[in-house]
Amino acid sequence: MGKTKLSAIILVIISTLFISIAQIFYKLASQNLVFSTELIFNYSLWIGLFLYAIAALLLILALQRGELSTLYPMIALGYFLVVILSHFVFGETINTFKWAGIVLIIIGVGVLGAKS
Amino acid sequence: MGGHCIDNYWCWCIGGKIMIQIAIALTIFATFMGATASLLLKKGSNTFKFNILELMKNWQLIMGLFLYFVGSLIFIFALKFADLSYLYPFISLSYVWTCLLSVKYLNEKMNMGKWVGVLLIIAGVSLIGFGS
Repeated sequence: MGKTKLSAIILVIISTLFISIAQIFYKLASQNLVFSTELIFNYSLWIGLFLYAIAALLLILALQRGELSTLYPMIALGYFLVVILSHFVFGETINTFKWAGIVLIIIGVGVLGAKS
Repeated sequence: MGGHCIDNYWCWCIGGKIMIQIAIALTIFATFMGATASLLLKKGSNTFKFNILELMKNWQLIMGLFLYFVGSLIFIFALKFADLSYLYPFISLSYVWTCLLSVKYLNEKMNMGKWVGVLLIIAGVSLIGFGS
């Protein structure tokens, strides 16, 4: 545990934030998604993909500076973040099943990372 | 609950009732593609070099990135038929496929703890699925 630097933790948090915001852009992109040349002008799609690429780079940099088992549970917090963002940006409803499912997924991803 | 159609044409085409099922099926298919992409990226990383010509010859890396892109498009298409907060948790299934593929094709070892993690993810996704 002591081998993970603070910079690694900050990088993972920013990476998770970017991935979560990318999902919001994906949802926006879905609203005018057509499989034709118009895809090129679907700016939400490209912003989403760009954020994803940056997040992947940040994650690789973080993994160079810290242990996977410490950083993985932090990535899982993205599932929580996406639900919160969807609620505030799109007014989506969150029932008890969603909350319970997300808690299980976060624990699951955390355990998977910790045992790797 | 999970269903929130934003595209009248497509929703009319496939019918309102099976809307969510279609969205879930597409999302799970996208996670298959994502996991396969991860496997190809891992294989491609073995011969990874910071050299344009070498990168262009690394077909595993190129195929992996392409699969990620197509998987993302399929997920975005699925988002037409259901809420983001409903479908996004299903993306965690890619961890499950990645574990299975790593055992089969990379000879990686699973332990008790990893299986517990996989089962918790499946349980969480199922809970969200049944809750709609």
